Amino acid sequence: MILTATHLSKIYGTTLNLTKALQNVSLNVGTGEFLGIMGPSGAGKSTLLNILSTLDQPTSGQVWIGDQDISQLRGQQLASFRRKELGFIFQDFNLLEALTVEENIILPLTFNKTPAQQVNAELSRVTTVLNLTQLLQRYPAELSVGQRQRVAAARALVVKPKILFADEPTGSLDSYSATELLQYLQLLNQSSQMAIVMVTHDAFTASFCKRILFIKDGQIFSEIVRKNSRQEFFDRIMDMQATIGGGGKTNALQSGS
Amino acid sequence: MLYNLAVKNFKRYRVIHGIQISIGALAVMIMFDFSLMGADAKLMQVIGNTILSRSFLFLFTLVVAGLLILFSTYWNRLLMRQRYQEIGQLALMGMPTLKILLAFAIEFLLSQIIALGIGLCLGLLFYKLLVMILLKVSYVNFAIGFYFNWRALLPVILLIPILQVILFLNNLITIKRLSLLRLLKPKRPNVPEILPLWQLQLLSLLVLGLLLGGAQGFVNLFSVDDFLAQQLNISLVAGLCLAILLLSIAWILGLMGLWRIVIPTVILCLRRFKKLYFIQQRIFTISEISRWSFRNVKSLTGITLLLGLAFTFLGMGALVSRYGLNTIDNYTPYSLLATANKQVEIDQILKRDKVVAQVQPIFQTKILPVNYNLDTVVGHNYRSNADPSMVMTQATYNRFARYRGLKTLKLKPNQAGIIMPVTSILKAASKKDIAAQKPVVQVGTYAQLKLQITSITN
Ligand SMILES: Nc1ncnc2c1ncn2[C@@H]1O[C@H](COP(=O)(O)OP(=O)(O)O)[C@@H](O)[C@H]1O
Ligand SMILES: [Mg+2]
Repeated sequence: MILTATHLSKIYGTTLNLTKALQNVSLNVGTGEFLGIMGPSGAGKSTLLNILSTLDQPTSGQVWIGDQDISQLRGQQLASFRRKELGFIFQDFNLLEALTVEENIILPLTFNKTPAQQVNAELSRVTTVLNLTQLLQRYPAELSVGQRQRVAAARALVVKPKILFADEPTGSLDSYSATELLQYLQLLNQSSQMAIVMVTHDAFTASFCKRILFIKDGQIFSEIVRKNSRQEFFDRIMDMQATIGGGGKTNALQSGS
Repeated sequence: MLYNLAVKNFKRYRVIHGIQISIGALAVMIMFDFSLMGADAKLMQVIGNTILSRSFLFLFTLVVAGLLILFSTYWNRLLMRQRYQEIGQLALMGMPTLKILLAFAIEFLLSQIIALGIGLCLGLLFYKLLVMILLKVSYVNFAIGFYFNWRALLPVILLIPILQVILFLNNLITIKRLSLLRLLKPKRPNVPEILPLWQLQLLSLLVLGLLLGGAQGFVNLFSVDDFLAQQLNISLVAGLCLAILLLSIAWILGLMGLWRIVIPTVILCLRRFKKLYFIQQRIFTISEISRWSFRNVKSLTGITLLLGLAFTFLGMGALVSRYGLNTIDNYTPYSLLATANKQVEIDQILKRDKVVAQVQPIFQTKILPVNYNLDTVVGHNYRSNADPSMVMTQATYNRFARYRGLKTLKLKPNQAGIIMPVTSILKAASKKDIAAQKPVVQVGTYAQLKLQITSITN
């Protein structure tokens, strides 16, 4: 197991106006697994992902990544843990607009004080996989949305994280760019031991995962595992979405916030 | 690394830095010039005892510095808010907060140094011009050349480290307060509700009218309060308070409307001209400004309010000190009221009354202020603690006149009136006696006056 979460709860607000965003959620992520998290808008997907990825603290419950209890990490320790072990991709492409694609991608390595030789090796590794070699000297403003998201992915992957967290990574992409990105992610997931935890509302995107957790009203509703073809998996996801209700475009738009 | 990031960000946000640099340079220029004037011994000999005294110049320098610091802090906050996501990303990648802040500090330092450089050059360049304008206002003849003094440079240069520390602490507090999640959250554009364009244009006109009215009202504050007091049948003090209150409200509403209504409307109108769009060429574009100003409408309103209020109070302070302090002076109401082209007649009258007066116009208005020294009028037995100079407008005089039940003045452009109140010349030999005999006067009331009003016609 690369990640273990037990009895996670998250409560927002005051005693007068409580939102139970998560209630008693437990889950495991195996090494090299590609886990999807699905559910209607407001189900608590982002909340869950933020807690798993150390960006937020649960009201109660524990998260272990590797053999580290992340609630024990503070300040600089936490920052360094994130930098070395975790990768992040968000729906809106978080790139530094003032830097070129290359500078954006190698930025995390500069914080790690990686030697120049290795920086170049890592750079060419991720840029080859994500097909970015032609774009290295461009600025983010000169890229298409799909390209930007690939740069964001490259930056997340350049440090070889043990686990990659993605919140609606395809939420702003057209279907072509989305497929492209997902194929790259799938490739990386298969070729390395990196686990991926991806939140999505979209059945097609989710069909790239190996296992999907459905959550509703802050609780795990059900789980499905891919056995055969992606098409068959996709159909089962659609069925489950119909059962659970919700989903669709509105979800994609809201879950970015 | 830090330096590289700062320089790249500086280039990237050149529009925003450009605005800061322009305003900073202007402020530095003014500060530097006033600082120079204070240090210019020859100049101070000439104008030192007018309103442009050394302490006034120093005060003004401080006020400008204060305004610059306020503006920079606010502008910096705006810039930071614009870039929360960037900070969030850096933090997420493991950059320590202090280093992130340091990168920002370097970026701000760059623009401050540029502003300082430009400001100092402008200051040297325009020193002569500025002094000439001030001398012109003071009617002083003085040959002025270029002037430079290291001591004058010091307070201006000192400003930068002070500003850096303030901004750094400010940013530190802001960032420490926010969670990483909050920093990473995408910003939602803050687009105001859009009314039909014609309604916006109409509203814009109203707002501009309000601002103009407010400005006019402030300039004529002492006519407005008089008018209010008469119409509402309240005391003059109440009238003054009411006038200031009303005008401040008009001014504040106007300033808010400026950002909320007028500028968006102007942008909306400009947007219709497609030629102003150059998004691809990455030039300073209307679309960029409009997106930016819509997104930051609240902060911009804040900035304007701050600056507007600062200048309002500055202006009001000047007004009150110019008219108000004289009108509520506890001791001495001597005044001379005339149109400026009546100097010859005034001189004759002063001579007839054996008053040795020193005519020294300070403001170029229709009113001619006359300074005369009591000692020279009535000899050493008579003293006054008051500064024997006074300017009174017709409106101000009429206010007293009405209050005292005296004849009011209605001067035509070619008419002049001279008012020579005599009562507050105190007959006393020692300072102690003066204290005993000093007429006790409250705000809005007036010492016993005996007024001679003389009208002169051509
Ligand atoms: N910062 C917050 N403060 C208060 N309530 C929040 C906050 N973040 C999320 N919530 C609430 O928690 C619930 C789950 O939100 P979220 O995890 O964003 O849902 P999802 O990503 O599945 O659409 C929602 O009801 C939302 O309103
Ligand atoms: Mg979400």
